[in-house]
Amino acid sequence: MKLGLTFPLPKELIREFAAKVDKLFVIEELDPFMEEQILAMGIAVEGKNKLPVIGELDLNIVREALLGDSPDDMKFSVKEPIPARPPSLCPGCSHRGVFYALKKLKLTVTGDIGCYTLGALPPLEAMDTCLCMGASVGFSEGMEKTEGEELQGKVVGVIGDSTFFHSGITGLIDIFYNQSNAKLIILDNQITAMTGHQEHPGSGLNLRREPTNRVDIEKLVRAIGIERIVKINPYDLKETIDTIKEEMQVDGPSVMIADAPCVIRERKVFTKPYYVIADKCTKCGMCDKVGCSAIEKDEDGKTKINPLLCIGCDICRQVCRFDAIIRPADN
Amino acid sequence: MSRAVLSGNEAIARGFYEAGGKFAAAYPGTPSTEILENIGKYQEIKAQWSPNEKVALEVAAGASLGGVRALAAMKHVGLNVAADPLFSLSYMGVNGGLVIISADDPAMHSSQNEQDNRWYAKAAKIPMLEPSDSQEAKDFTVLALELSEKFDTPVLLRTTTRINHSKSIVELKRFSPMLRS
Amino acid sequence: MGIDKFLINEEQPVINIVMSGVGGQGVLVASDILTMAALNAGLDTKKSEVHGMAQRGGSVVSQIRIGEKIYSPLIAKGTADILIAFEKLEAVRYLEMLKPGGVVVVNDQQITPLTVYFANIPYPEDVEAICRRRAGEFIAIEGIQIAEDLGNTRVLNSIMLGALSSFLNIKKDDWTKAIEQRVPPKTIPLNIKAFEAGAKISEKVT
Ligand code: SF4
Ligand code: SF4
Repeated sequence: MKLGLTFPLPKELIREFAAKVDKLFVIEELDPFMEEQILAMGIAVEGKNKLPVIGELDLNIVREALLGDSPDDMKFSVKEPIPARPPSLCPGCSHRGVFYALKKLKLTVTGDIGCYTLGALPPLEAMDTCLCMGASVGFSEGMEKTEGEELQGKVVGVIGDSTFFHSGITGLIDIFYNQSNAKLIILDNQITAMTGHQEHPGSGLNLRREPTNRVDIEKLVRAIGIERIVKINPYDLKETIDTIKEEMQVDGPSVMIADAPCVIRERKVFTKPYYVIADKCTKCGMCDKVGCSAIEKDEDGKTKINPLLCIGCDICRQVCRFDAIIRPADN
Repeated sequence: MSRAVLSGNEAIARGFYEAGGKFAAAYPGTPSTEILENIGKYQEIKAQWSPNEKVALEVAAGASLGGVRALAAMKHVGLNVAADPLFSLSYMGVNGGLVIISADDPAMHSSQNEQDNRWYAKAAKIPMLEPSDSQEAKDFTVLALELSEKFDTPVLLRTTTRINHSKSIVELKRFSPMLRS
Repeated sequence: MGIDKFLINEEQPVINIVMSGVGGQGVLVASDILTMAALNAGLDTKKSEVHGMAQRGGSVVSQIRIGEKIYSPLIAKGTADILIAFEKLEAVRYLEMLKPGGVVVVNDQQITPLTVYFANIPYPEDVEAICRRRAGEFIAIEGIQIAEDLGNTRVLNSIMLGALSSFLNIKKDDWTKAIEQRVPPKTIPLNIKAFEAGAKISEKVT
């Protein structure tokens, strides 16, 4: 029996069905929601004594749980280790520069939810917390207020534009109202990128992509009462590092706005693909640290850039100390 | 009657359209996002992004109070944000049918947690329907609106990622204008 | 020579296909077209996949089932008839889905994931040999080369669908119609050409 109405449970139907069978199993994903209610009806039923309470169920899991085993055909696996392929910030993504800077500065970063959560993964690894929508703001305030000397000027919140509209504003009001020194970076790429590029109150377009009113983040932050607001160009690593470093030292709250649209949404191509002069590449690995999937290795382990992926954002060139990475001349 | 291969999300949008739905709001969240994007393709429906799920549910409930069939869509954690209006809406009831989509994400394909939102139905005492493919996703959306009006309560439609993003064949009906006095 | 087409009949009421690749390669559009072609051919079909991270270069997989009547959209491990991979590593990753003696069609392209450098897990050396431990038929397609010859690397998905089409009993017209329904109108002729180029390669083995 398959149920389409799970609350309230169709108790009569369940009773009738139970009367017709020898043994009753409830196969449900996650919690024993139906199972407990059916037990409470006085019907003997099994389920979560065999099935997991986490994860998705599939044929193999259910079969093994109920029948104890599965046929040999289903047990094949490849012996060799298979490298994972986690998602990563797109080549040229405007978030990359900020996370590179945060890692360099060894700051404690309270993060949030969006594409930029990928900044928590290696090699950038520049996000220390991620709880729920908007939590970066409250976390940075709470830590800044209680962590004492050691963390003074070392905690910064990072939040995207859409998440800021969703649940960041109230946290920022709290920072101002309760006289916190918290620092916040708003990664403003003018779109809800993570879920597939939906418009939001700051993008100037509505759901049907027709022009509409636009909330200006900078004006909004100013209206709250925050006075220190600086803009960051995340494609200039030195400027980004210097600005963040400076803002971390100021007294009172500071909001840094990294102002650069999502390159996927804009279909942005900065230049023709960058390339590497193999003779100059010392295999030092610095460029690996920006975590761009266009950066690959040749047979000698030297860096090469995949021309199908690179959009010429210039970030990797700025970290190469041997001038091995070249911006194409003709544009 | 024509047939099409639709995802669960496309089918929910289609169901809302066929049932004469008039207003829909959401904040994007995987796996629910494409519901509103697809509703937006029907010019007969007012569809909009809200800054968060609480606002989406409130404006949709307001539209229901105004007398039209309305929908709010969100991912499982979005319903946490919208839980405040949800519980009290259960007392207040509806005018036009109101369906709330809760798109759960077992296995956390793109979420920070795993959460079984069936408990919300029990806790808020709101009926819950759960489709098992795209045809049911469409049919249950229509049914949810009918039940909502019949019993004067919002109705939850719970999906999971596998329902939202799986595709299967759906029978399409023509748009049937809402028959309400 | 080689392997017969998979017919949908009493002996084989359902065909299971796993399609895998890297975000951005067009796997999801390809699996859309496949299900639409099945619909056009009057068959039942369900497919399942997970979006979300598809754009950001992660591993992408779509499971497609075609037959007279389909219940679950999911394929059990070890029961896929065909594994069609847009990238070599992604063939290895989902090989456990394939039934013994099944068909592997792979685009002969290596996209090295960053974990090869950070986690020091080597990229598998001989993908064909690994696949042959399980597969009865292995076909490598020079997808990128063919796409470049056609003048656009974005038609890789149509090439792969063409390669797949030789194994399925779906008429060319039903495929063409599905492509027309799904790809941007301007690119229809190019996609159909790509489809035909893919079909030509796999035809040889069926
Ligand atoms: S979609 Fe946009 S914001 Fe997201 S990772 Fe890619 S470039 Fe960055
Ligand atoms: S310039 Fe460097 S960092 Fe930027 S997209 Fe190209 S390879 Fe990646």
